[in-house]
Amino acid sequence: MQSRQSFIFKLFYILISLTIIYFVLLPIVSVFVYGLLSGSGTDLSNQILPRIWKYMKNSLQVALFVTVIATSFGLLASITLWRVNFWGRKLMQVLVLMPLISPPFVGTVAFIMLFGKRGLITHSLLGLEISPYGFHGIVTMQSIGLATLAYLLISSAIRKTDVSPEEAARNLGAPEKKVFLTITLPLMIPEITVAAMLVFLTSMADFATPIIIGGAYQTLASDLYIQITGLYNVQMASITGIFLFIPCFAAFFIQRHYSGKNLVYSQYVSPERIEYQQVKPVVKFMLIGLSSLFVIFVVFQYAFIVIGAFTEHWGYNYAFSLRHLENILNKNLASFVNSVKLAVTVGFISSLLGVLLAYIIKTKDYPLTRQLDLVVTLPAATPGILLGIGYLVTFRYPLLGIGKYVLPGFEPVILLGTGIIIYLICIYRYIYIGMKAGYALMEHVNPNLELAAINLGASERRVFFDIMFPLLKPAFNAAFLKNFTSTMTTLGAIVFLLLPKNKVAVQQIFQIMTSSEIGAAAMMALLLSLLSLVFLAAFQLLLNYEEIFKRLREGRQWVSSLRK
Amino acid sequence: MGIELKEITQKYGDLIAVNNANLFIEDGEMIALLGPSGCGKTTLLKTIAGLLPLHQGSILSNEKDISNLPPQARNAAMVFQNYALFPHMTVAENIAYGLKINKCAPSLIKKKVEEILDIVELPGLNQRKISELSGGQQQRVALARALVIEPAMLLFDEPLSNLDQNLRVSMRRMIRKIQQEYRITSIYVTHDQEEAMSISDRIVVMKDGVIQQIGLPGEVYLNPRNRFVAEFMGTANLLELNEDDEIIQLLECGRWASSRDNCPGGESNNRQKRYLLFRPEDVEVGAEGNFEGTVIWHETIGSVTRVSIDFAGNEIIAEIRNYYKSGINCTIGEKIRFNIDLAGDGHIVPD
Repeated sequence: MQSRQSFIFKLFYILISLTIIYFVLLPIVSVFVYGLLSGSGTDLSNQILPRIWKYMKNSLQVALFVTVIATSFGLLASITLWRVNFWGRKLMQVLVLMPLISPPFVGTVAFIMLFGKRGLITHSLLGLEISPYGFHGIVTMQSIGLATLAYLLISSAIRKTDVSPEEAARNLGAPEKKVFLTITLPLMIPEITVAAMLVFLTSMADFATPIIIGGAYQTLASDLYIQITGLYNVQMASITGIFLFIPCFAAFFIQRHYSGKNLVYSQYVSPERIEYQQVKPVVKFMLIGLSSLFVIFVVFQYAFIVIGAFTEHWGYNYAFSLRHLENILNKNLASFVNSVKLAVTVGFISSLLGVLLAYIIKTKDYPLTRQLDLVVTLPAATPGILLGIGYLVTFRYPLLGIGKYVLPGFEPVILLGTGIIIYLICIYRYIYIGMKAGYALMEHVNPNLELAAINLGASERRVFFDIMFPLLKPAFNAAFLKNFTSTMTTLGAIVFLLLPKNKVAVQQIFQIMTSSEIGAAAMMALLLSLLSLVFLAAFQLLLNYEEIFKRLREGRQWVSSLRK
Repeated sequence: MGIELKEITQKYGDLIAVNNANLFIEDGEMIALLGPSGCGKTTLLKTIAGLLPLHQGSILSNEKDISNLPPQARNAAMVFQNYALFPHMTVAENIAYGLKINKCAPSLIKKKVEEILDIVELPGLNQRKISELSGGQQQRVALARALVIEPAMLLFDEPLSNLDQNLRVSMRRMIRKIQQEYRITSIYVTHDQEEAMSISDRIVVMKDGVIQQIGLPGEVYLNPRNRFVAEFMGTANLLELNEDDEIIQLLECGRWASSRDNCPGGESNNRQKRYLLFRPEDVEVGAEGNFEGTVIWHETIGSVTRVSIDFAGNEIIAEIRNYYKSGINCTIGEKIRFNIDLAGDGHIVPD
């Protein structure tokens, strides 16, 4: 069976492995090498460490608070929206997901509008001169944004739980509270810890929120951003990056090690609808009340973004205005086009590579698959901004970075400073999403299918295209939608690598916000969210067109059968 | 097409899955590979199909060595345990898959699919999705998909183990009927003794990768070569014999005492444990029986009642036909009388 096809798979495996090492492992290692080796060892202990220690404390403080709050709200909302029956539940299930389609710091726009120095509530209504900037602001904003992430994971767990253990517990006489604490909750621990870990990582990696509303209170990630953009001190940034990397890496692998379960994008939802029949009214109202509060916060964010987008000058002149819209259509349209181009390309390529890689790792007996899996997953544990620094220090030199050693006399900028680099970093950063989706799907695929096709005479190429490719399509679709939205809203990884000619919308919003043009920022955030929404809807139609056509056909048959 | 397996050994790492297997399968014959899970029967089957690389030995088809042929070229269609139907294709597409691979003309494919669906008694289901079929229907589509490419041999990997009892019986009759009609050389892997006996021309019993016995179904049942085969082929009463053959004297069947050499393998190693074998149907319960024991338990499954009898410290299982009308009374702890019919050969088996 040493055929040409198996040669192609081998070649693909070798090439993808090499490029993954090159575009994932090398940049991360580079940060360490650059931060630790490029001189000034004595400065480290005297000046740099106390400074980093302060930011580290801030980062951890924020991240721990946010992790507890966001995960609790995520859990609370999951239970309420999927286990308690009340009016308006369906609507809330949709509304709660809204933050997923917008950049993570969009909420801060609304926050500043309401509680800022010239905020509607603090300034105009209460006439206060207080500043909301600092620790509380960061924790509030991150908690609201990340509770959605936690909710997404935990609710998927609660929806696919097996009912029978709960029924057994009830049958053995356990009261509802006991059932929840001893059965339901322990069964969801893997998803809860995954959610907590992701919230922790995202909070650690978020530099935009502290920059916008942190005031004097800055974190490791935001300091890193300032080091590069303000001072262009790459070495200092690299050292900061190392200290940012350590807790993130630790959190990721501790979670992975202890719960032993990776992020699973399960499509399986338990067919049996479970609802708590006898909940004490007090508990029920508390659950609904807290979840409503959370949903109201989310809805308010968007409501005020819409209002702010059409207001002449927030805080001073509240007249209706199309000024911001006109401005953006005239000046910033290109950045939206770039965002969509980037997101579609990255979504397509990285999902395809990821699913292919999952297929190869699971079915072919190639060497070093475990190690490759680890390297591919590394970006999940790495803050985007750190990977960005890695690209910055690695690819400053000609010939994709190799030139530093081979051709020291060459022009210093080659890959860095081209449009391709932001595509590369996003593609390689998200390959693991497609890979995990592929793994999850392949667990449900009967391993004998391939053998059956081979047995009927199919070649390795035909086995792949006739059998595995169609079966893996759902994994590709899921990864594509996720990678598309992630890329649309990502900032950290690409913020240092963008050029004026390929600026993207998220970066524009961020820049406008740091210069306090609230109305323009609100309008851009609104447009970006709408754009994501429109594209997501279009892709849903495109990816599921067969199913939709089938439904339409069935519907028509049904109608014509009614006529008869 | 006759198939010969010569000295086949297969390993998974250090684990020997199949150990020096030799077997000749006649043209048009149906062989059952019978054994408990992990005995190497499926490994052997997949080796024949070429789905596992051959570690050692050779496979001959009509005296031609096919050991190194790729699975695609072996023309050995397989019916898988979980059917392995392609879930994203319709029934017709599943069945047509092998024909398309072999570049059959579309009109011919259509005709062949229709024909084969008639044969497996699923006419008109061409456009159904696999998920819309019952287990029995899926099983028949899997059979059709294998049959339609007109294979030189058919390989079955426990094809009926996911079906309920009644369906299993009717499906195994259908498989046997089609196999005999088209005279396709077939190998049928199963762990079910009843299925193996009813479907095959000959049975190969395997344990721990080693072929224990090859023979006609009746041969293997009546003259098992060792204790394992005896116990695997239905219920067996095995009474351990000591040096003095105490049990034989007790059962007053003295003629067996001299026939120690009847025991296959027994002559080579006298220290090996030996057992007197008889089946429950050899035990005749009745008031006129020569022996007496105590009832330990009994169960009636309809046509037959099984009684476990304590006889001088040995447990003997007896079968009573038509218990309710027999007038026999089984009460746990009560005495019961019985006879043992030890006619025929080979009643002493080694461990």
